[in-house]
Amino acid sequence: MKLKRLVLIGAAAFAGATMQLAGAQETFKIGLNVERTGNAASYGGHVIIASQIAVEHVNENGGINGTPLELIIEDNRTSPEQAVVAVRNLDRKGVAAILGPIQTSQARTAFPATNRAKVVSISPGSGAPGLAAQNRPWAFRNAAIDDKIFTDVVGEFKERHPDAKRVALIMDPKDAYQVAFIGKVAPPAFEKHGITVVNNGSPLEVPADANDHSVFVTKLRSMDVDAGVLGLVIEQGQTFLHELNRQKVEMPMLTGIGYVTNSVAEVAGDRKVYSGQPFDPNGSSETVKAFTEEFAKRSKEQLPGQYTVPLYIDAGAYESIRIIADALKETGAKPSDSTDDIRVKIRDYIAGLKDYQGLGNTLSIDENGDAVKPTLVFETDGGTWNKL
Amino acid sequence: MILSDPVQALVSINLILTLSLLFPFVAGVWSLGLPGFMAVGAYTAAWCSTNMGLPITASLAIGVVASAAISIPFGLLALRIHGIYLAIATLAAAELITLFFSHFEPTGGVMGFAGIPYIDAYWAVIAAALMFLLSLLIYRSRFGKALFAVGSDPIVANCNGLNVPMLQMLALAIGAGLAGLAGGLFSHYYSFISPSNFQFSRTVDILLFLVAGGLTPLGSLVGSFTLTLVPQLSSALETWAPALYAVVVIVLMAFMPGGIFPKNRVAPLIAYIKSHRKPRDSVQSQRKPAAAPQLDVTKN
Amino acid sequence: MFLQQLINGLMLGSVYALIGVGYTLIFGVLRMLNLAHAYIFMAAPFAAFYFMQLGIESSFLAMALGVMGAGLLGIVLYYVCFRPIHQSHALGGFVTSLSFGIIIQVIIVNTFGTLKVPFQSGVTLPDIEFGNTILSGIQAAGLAISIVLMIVLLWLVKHTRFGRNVRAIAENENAAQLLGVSVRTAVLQVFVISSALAGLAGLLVATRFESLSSHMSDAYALKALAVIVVGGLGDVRGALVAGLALGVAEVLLQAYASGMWAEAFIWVMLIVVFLVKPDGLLGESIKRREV
Repeated sequence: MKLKRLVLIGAAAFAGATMQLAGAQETFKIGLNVERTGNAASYGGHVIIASQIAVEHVNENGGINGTPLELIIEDNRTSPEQAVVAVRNLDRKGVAAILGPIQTSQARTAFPATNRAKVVSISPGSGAPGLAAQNRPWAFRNAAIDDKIFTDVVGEFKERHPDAKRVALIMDPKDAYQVAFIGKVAPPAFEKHGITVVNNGSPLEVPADANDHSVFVTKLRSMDVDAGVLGLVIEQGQTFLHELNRQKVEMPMLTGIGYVTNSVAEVAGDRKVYSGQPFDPNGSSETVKAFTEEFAKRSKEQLPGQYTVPLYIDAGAYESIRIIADALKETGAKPSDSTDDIRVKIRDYIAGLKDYQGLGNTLSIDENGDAVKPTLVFETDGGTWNKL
Repeated sequence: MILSDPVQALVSINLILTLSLLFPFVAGVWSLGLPGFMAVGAYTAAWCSTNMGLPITASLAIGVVASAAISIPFGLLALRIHGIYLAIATLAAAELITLFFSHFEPTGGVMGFAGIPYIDAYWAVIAAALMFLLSLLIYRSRFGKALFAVGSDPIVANCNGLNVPMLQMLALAIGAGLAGLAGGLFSHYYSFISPSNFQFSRTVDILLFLVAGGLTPLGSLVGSFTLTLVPQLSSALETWAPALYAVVVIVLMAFMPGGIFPKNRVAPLIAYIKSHRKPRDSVQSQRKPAAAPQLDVTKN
Repeated sequence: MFLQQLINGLMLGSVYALIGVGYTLIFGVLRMLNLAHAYIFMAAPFAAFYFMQLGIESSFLAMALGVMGAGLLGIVLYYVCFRPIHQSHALGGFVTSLSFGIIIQVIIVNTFGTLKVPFQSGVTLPDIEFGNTILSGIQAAGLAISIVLMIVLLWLVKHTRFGRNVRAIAENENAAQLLGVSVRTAVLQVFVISSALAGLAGLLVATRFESLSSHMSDAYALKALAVIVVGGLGDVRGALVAGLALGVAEVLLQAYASGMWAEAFIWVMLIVVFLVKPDGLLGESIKRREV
């Protein structure tokens, strides 16, 4: 009895497998190593949307010389250990390249794994310095920390607030990106413009899980400064801005990367907040418009109540998929080529990328594997962000 | 296919960590110092192999020694504080260790320690297998029974001539050493560590494995194995996958509140499963004995 | 600025105190830690938010529904997670309640995401300003409500039969049962009250910061554990005092010392407290061996 049942099950499985192989269409697979669940699930959800839009746009334009792109999603659960499993699973599924992880925490373990698996990984959101450099040649980043960006932000700020003489730094001391940004990038940028950083070396520390910022804002009030520098992640930044409003603190703020979206502008209200990033969500080019409109539509449908204006992470994700697609096209890759060949071609293409027309800007990949893009500075104006 | 390289490493490291929690808990020492010990082992081993060029086996061993050594102040705490108070105190002490590494520049501070030489997953698997066998041996030995006695009732154990403080400190040291080994394996497999890898959330995860599996070596094996694999298999549920994990744990605890293997025996579990299965033919079920002796993997 | 920081500390402390009381009540009667507590704290304001989105005009009604929802969750929690587990498996309750909490969190994350959601309570109150200090109307109202709640709780525990039952069970469950206390009813009541309290605390926080997040309990969960241990397990008065003290201490440290030292100090302080008083600050409550 048992044996017969086993044989039947075995036969069914075999039949299913062969049917799968026979019916499977030839595609190029791009892997998505994304934070679908866990603390960064909201970012992951939006990046999935951005990536899906990119894949559809490519396929609508004839795919890769006729062959469509397919997106394979692996959840890294916002866990560095799972990110390695995700890389391995995607590798096993024969992807041509991997987009992700979003966060530095996951990228730190995924990047060595991607080097071992010899497949490209591009992170659209990791900003900790040196990460791609430590993991050559297969790791890339489309969202680098750039000294230039912030110097430009300070410049614009100084132009509009010529009387500002003193600023205070605010950060979460346990975040590698913020340690680099607040510790190494911000002070020289202010020095260049003749502004004093009153708490250089001992910034105002806001723990990552702090919900109640009243003590920190009160501390800021006692510092007698003309502006504050928010190195915090966007969520904590919003909480801080909200508390600034409540304690009736009237000063402009400068921020790190990743604040240019509607939820921040709304909480900022009449306060002037300055932020720099390489992506302009209000850009006028056709590609940008097509992307932002579709992104807003799908975010509203699939992630109701969350932000609808794409963050630089979402833009980076879209851009990276297009870059991979162009890599496949330009190198004349065919689905019948060996996976290893395709992966090497993509790696070399991206490593040599210069003056590529991205989402409303031009980007080049430097020798560290990081993308170099021009800065755009934004300022809040009564509930929306304006490009300066 | 499910047991890919990284999953093997994950299961193995989790098993060692679960065992590292088992020893102190069996001896009645509610030590939640796991992340601290793991961090010490990880950083020490990484330092030895990366900055001092020592072979990896030696580095791992030094890591184990370092974390066992760090357990001494914890042990002194345990002499004075007990139960849930000790749990909180050790939690605090572990957080202090992580805080130290956040500010210790030679190992990278919050930027982390990169470039650690890579080891294949089989290192972790072999280490885990060895540690499991070792734990079984200890558990069945006189020493193991002494630890168990101390955990069940320290006063009676003392009256029976057992040196309770010494045994507790030993259990703690063994646990710390195991966590240090796991840490060393972790740092070499992932090639990168930072203080954010050693947080209290990890303790909670491992505690779940231990409690669901049962406070025995066999329980640790089953608990860490099953619960590490459940998330790997539930990816089809997409964003609902963590809920499945939680449901599995609740159901498990509802039916087996002492864990799957509360005693280190397989037989009671099989008998339990059999007693819950509807007999197709009542005569048939009467003919078979309740627990086939040859299925006993380990005897206590 | 000192007065302002003091007020900040009291506000933070009052949240710790309210959460701590709920925690300690359940520990007193069951000897188990209810880890779902922090998640119910987070779920209640989301429930209120959901009702407001459904079209319920009065935010007070929505919030009241949120609190009731929290109480209901407490009942479900008891039956699913704690009833099946006997007291001898202390860690079992820890594990199942955590899982229950995770399920709640997954539902919330899948509905609302992990980012902060703005929460308009519709309550506008004028601010009180004296000198450099600003006490927002909502803060003052929240503080007042918290104080009232604490007084009510203390009265409940000290002067009502329910309170006596709870204290009796906490001291010796068997004896209490023999003396006619219906343990099951009392435990259920504790769960309802404790969960409703958690929900109310969550609503107060959400109203004060005008935002909700599926991770809003992170800041409070671990500290609440420290609160109940320092205050004495099962001791309501202790939890209140310890919560307020911890809040004020944390704020003053963050205001006048660097972040790292503030954090280190809190942990070191905990260890020192236990070394000096191994059975907890107010030591007279649950004795060591039964833990």
